[in-house]
Parts: sequence; structure tokens; C-alpha cells
Amino acid sequence: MLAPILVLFLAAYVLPLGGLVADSFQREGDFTFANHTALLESRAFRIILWRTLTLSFVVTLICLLIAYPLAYVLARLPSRWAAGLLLLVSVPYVTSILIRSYAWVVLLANNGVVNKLLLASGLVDEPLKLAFNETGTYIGMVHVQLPLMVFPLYAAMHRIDRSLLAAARNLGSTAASAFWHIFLPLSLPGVASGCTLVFLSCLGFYVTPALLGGPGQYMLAQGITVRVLTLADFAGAAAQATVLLLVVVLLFVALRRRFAAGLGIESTGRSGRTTAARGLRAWPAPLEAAIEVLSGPLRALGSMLSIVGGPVVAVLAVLALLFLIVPLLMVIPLAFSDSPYLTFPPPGYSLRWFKTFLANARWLDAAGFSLGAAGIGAVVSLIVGIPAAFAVVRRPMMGRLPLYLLLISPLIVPHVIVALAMYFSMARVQLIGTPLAFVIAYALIGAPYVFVLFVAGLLRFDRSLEMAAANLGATPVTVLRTVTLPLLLPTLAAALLFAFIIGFDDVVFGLFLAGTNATPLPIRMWDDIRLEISPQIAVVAVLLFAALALAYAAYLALGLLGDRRSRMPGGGPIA
Amino acid sequence: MSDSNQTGAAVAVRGLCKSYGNVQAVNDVTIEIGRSEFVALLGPSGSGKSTILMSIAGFETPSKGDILLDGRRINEQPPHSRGIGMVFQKYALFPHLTVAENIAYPLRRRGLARAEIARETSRALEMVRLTGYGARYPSQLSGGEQQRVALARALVFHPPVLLMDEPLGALDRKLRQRMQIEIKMLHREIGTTIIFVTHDQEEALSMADRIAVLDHGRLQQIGAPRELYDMPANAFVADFIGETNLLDVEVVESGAIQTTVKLLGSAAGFRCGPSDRPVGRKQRLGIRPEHVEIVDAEEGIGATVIETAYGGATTNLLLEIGTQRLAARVQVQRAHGLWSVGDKVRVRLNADTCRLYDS
Repeated sequence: MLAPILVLFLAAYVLPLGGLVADSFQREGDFTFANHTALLESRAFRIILWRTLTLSFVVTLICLLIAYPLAYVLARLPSRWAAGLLLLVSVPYVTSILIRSYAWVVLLANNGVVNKLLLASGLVDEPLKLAFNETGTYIGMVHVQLPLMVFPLYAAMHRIDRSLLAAARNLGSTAASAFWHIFLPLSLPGVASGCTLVFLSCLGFYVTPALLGGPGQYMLAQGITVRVLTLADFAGAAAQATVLLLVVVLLFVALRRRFAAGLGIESTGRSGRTTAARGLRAWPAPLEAAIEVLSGPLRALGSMLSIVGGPVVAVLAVLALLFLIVPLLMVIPLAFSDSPYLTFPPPGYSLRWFKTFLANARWLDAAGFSLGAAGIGAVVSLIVGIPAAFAVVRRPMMGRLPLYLLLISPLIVPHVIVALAMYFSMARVQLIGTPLAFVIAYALIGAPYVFVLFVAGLLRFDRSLEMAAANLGATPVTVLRTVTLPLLLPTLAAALLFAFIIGFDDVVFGLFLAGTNATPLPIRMWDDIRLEISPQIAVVAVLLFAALALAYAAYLALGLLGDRRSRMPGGGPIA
Repeated sequence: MSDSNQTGAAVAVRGLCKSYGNVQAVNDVTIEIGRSEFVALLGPSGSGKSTILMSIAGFETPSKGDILLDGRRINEQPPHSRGIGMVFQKYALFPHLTVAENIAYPLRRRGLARAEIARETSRALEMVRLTGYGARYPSQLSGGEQQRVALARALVFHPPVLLMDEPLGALDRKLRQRMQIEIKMLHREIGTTIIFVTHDQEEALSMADRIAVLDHGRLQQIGAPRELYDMPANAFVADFIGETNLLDVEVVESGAIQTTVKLLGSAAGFRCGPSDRPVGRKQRLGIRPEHVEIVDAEEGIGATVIETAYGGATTNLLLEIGTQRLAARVQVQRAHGLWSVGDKVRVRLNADTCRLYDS
């Protein structure tokens, strides 16, 4: 059952990455460290590395400060409300990164909405420089990463038994001390997961810094891309990618237990500690130190949360939600602008940009190509991901933990690195610019989502249902057909949706793999945003929103069908 | 019993061992169960009772030993072809199927004709008094109704053996008692062999023909409820079935007529039935609270009342003799408020009701 996914990972991931690392040690056919030493001696690279690390750290911290009150409020709401609001939080996550960055350009540019408001109010005399510099990068990055922080925080806080706080109050704690001594420590696993995810994701981020950042102020991922696509310095790019890969892999290995927490099973051997006792204590020392540092601001935030109490926290939570959603909503009226330029609010409304979109074969071809490649890629990731999840959850096996980590690692390893590795290895077999290249790439980045969702679904699955079916006379195949698969249908829908979106929204692989016969929609949008900022992208955004809303409605309809049934497997609409 | 009880099959568990790694979950257990018998497997959690049940159902493979159905060894037979009915702990009703579809499930697997399935399903619903519930989903039923659907689904294909894994544990007390009676009546009616796992000794005593008491994977004793209650084989069974005082004593004299023991921590001595235990050996003396007699002065052994509890027909006294405690249950007409905390009383333990256990 593992064979298909292993073949895919070997061919499209492990071997290319290995090749990339090997390439970085070569110069004119000889083994050498010259590429790496050259890098480390390069002042430009050290600046880029430093800039990337500080950006990642600061963005993580800001995300934590914004997300903590939001998650705190969400966790206190009745779960029906919380589910709805979490859906709002997840909208940006499943919205194309290009559209999100585009929205910030609309808001933050010199003639953007924010500056117009500031000028009109007389607070400033000339427009503030908010975009195309570090400020823009930070704002855009925080927006992009925020959902990644909210979800683990919410998950951890939701599990906290509220009666513990009541008990603390009863035993003499003030509200502030109950928060500080009880709630905060119990929420720390969520803090740690969120910070880890956001930090790792920031390290290799490409699109947002490239669009909102200043000229020449590269992050690592941009540095790598520019080296390959503009300078054709393959060895240098390979060396940079190897350094980034090393940082990510080291963090990943150090935090492996945290990542494997989703597996819900003890790692083989040694540690007999229970999952509950594993909290913070199993952390590597540097990380504990980091948590200590992070808990400074948290401490201040914590006192505020509990002293100032409900209203302020609620306001902070609402502001955080607005920060997530409003930029996306701004895009919608733009699509109906009748102006040839990007001005907000639009001087008048028309469907002219929809017409130009539908009349333009290049846009339509790109959309068609993306639909097809992401669709096939998603199906392939289902085909390889589902059996792998079954094998990992249900088969006794050696090395379950390393295998699990390998299969989820494409979620963590920056796409720039994987794309670069594929670029090198696919160039050798002349796959660049072919639809097949995209199907392979999309299947590879979709498969971890399918795998993770099905592992979670199977761990939640009540096995006594399958035993009952067998006891009542069903053969193993019949059990699968009549019980297991029908009950995992919601998981299947969520997995398909995620796997599709992850491919459909991709920019990075597109930059490396596109050719004249294979240009996905995000690359068209990318070119359009970079060449001329027009309302055209807003049209694409509105169409994508509409498609997403349709997909979600279909998903809800599926859920309504099952509404009268038990809430057992599959979970809510948020996967 | 009606003559339909010939539908039951005999089940035998012989020398069953099951280990997980170095944990011995079931250790050399042999239980012979007759046709149409109702046997309870009773024990605390981790005693191995569920593992035995799962081995009979085919979800566990014995490490050693055999499972026999009507004398036929079925160790290797997959669960789906064993034809044994089972009610799971949390019922395991399929949430995506209606009540009727749940009950029809085993019939469809057996390839019955549509009309026959409909007939059998409605008959099963009638049997558990849920006629008219067929179109509902399990989540729309109460706990007791779900329990009955599970029962109907397990019995609809007329299995010769029905396994029940703590099926009443999730119900409240009143409902549990009603279901106990219903299941007993059903057993009498259809005569299927029933093997019933429970950790509730009252449930086992009131329902089963015979009870197998298990602890730490070993069979402690098997017998009729009365037998287990009156003649527990060891201190564990004595303590697990009903209430028992276990006093630490030392053998002073033993013989063919009687054994004399001395209570540790006091000078008091008791007489028990005959035994061959060596003098000086530490033992535990078991006696049930209702067998402790409060007697008039001069007779018996001195004790102090340290707590009293009114219990309707009886009053419970907690007594102290030296350093040891002894619970007594006294008929109320004798007690009628005679005793209060601090009173000195005298107790007598009838030799016939005292039993000695190795400590």
C-alpha cells in the first residue's frame, strides 16, 4: 500500500533533492565546498540570510500576538459559532497567495486606499511608503501566515477544560493569576506548534516578499530564484538551497515529536512517557529558550487579556478577523471597475474586465490548464495518499515515525527548494514545460495533505464499526465498501479540495516548470501583477471566490445529507 | 424453557493464552460452555475477559490454545464466516445507515431475498419493541433504544451464540435493570448461547447461569452464582463477588474438625472449618457482613462500634477489634437504634461461614 507514494516521493522528491545537494558540492565536475564557502564569504548572502531569519522571527512574533486573543475568543464561543468564524479565518488560507498580495498592493500602494484615507484625514501630507519595501513585506507576510498560527492555538485552547479555571478561581486565584498559571501553560503546546509552523513557512516564502517587498531586498527564496532564472548561476542556487534545506531539516528533525503528534501513536522504542506528560519537557533546550523569550510578550498579553477582560480581547479578536478578511473583500468591487487603472473605490462600475478576461485566449488557456493539471494532480495524490495513510495507521511496522515525517515533510520544506530540485532533475529528462511536469509537482505537494487528513480521519475512526461489520458477515472488501469508505467520505472531500487548491494556487513550481505549452493561471496572474497593476486580477479573484463558494456549498450539501447521522467520523467542515 | 433452546451451540475455550509483547493478557484459561447456557465473564478491567470474547468472535488470534464451536476448532476462521452474533460495548451501530438498514446488514451479506430481508427486519424490530423506528438513524435514538437495535442486529440472523461486551455499561441504573430482565427473557425465549462480559458483579449474579471470574488473565473460579457467593475459591473471588471482610489472622491450631486462628493485632481467636494449614501461617479470614452476629455479653469477642449506617431493612455497622475493622449487617428489628458510635459490643463469627484464604 506504500509503494505508490514511495515511487512518487522517490522520483519527484527524494532523488531530486539529493541531486540538488550533490550539485551544490560540484564545480566543473569536481567535488568541492567552494560553492558553500563562496556563499558564506559573500556579504550579500549573509545579509539575505539575516534578513530572512529576522523577518521570520518577527512575523512569527506578530502573528502570535494577533492570533492569541483571536484564538482565545474563538475557543470560548459555542462551537457552532467558532466553526463559522474559523471558516472565515481559513478563507485567506485557501485563497490564492497572489490575490492576497494583490489586495495588499491595492491597500498599501502610494495611491492606495490607506494612503488616500490618511491624506484625506489630513494626518499626513504625503503618502506613506507602505508597500514595495520591508513594511509591505511584513504586513503581507503576517496576513499570509496568520491562519497558520490561529488554527493550532485554537486547537490547543479548545481542549482546555474550562472547569480548571473555575477550580483555580475557587482555590483563590484572581482571574489574571488563573490565566497565567492555568490557561497559559495549557495553551503552550498550541503556541509552540503555531510558532514552529509559521517560522518554518516564513523561511522559504517567495511570493509575498517578491510582490510587496522593495527592489533588491531579497529573501532567501527570491535569492535562489533570481540566481537560477535570471543569472543562470546553477551551482550558486544549489548551494543556497542546500543551506536553506539544512536549516529547515535541522529544525524539522529537532521538532519531530511535535510534528508526529498528529500521528497519535508512540514513536517506536525508548521513551515510555505518555503523550500527556510529553508537553514542553521533551523540547530541545534552544527551543525552550525560545519559548521563554516568546513568553515575555505573552506574559504582558496575558495580564491584559485577563485584567482588562472580555471587551478588549473581543475587540482585538474582531480586529484580527477584519485584518484577515477586509483586504480580500476590497478586491471584489475592483473586479467591476470601469476604469482602465487600478483605483479604489472604482470611479464607475461595469463588466468590462470580465469581458476582456473571457475574450482573452491566454487567460482562458491558462485557467483551463490549471484546472486540468491541478485536478489530475489532486486525483493522483488521493490515489497515492490514501493507501499510505491506511498503511501507516493500521499496519504494524518498523520505522513508522520516520516514514510519517518523510511523507509530511513536503508541507515544511520550502517549495522553492523542491521546485529547484525538480527543475534540475526534470531538465535532464526534458519534462520542463510539459503538462506532466505539473501533474507530478501538484501530486507531490498535494499528497501530504491527503495523507495527513486521512491519518487523522483513520485515527478518529471507530474500529468497532468495522469489527461489527465483519462479525455480521462482511468480508474485508465488503467492510471497506459498506462501512469504512462511506464514513470517510467527508475526509475524502476535504482531502480532494485541499490537494486541488494547493496545486491550483501554486506560483513557485510554475515559475520553474512553465513553458509555452504549459502555463498555469497563477503564472499569468504573476506576470500581469508585475507588468501592470490592472483590475484584471480582481476578476480572476472574484471568479475564484465564486468557485470556492460553490465548492464549499457542495461540501455543506454533502454534510447536510449526513446531518441526521452521527457526528462520528469526518468531523466538521473545517478539516 | 421452550424446545427452541436447541438452537444454541456449545462453546469451548481450551488452554487459551494471549500475550501482547511481554504482557500476558490471557493465561491458560479453559471454559466449557453448554448449549443455550448463559455465562458471564466477570472481572475488573485488564482481567482478560474482553480478550477472551474477542478471541471467540475472531478478532484476536490466540497465542496458544483453542476455540471450539460445537466441538469444531475455529481458531483460523475469519470473523465474518463464524456466524456468531455480537453486541459491542458502544453498540457499533453504523451511523450512516438507518435502523432498518443496520438490522438488514447481516441479512444482505448472506444474500437473502429482498422480501425476506424486509420480513426478518421487521420481525427483529418487533422482538425488541422498536416497530416503526426502522427509518431513523442511530443518532436519533436514546441509549436504551440503540442498545435494543444492536441486540436486534446481532440476533436477526439467528446466530447459535451471542457475545455481549459490557452492553449495558452506558445505560443509567433504572434502564440497565430493565434491560437485564429483557435480555434474560429473550434468552429464555430464543435459547441462544450467551456469553456476556461485565465488570458489574450484581449484573453477573442476577443474569447468568454460570459466572467465570477472571483476574490478571487467569480464571479464578467458574460456577453458579450461588456457588461463587457461598464458596469463593480465593480471597479475590470472595472480595469481588458481594462484600467480604478479610481479616488478617494466624493459624493457632488446625485439624480435621476445626481450625483455630488468632486475629492479628488483638488477642481474639476464632474457629473455622477443618483445614490442613500449618500452625503459625498467616491467613486471611473471609466472612460476609451479614454473617457477623452481634451477641449478648459474655459470649463472643469484644468490639467497638466506629460507624453506623442505616440501610432500610438492615443497618450496617463498622466495628473495630484491636487494630482491624469488621463490617457487620444487622437486621433492623434487632438493631432498632440500639447502637451508636463508641458502643462496646460483642460479636460472634459462625465457623460455618468463615473461610480461610492464603494471603
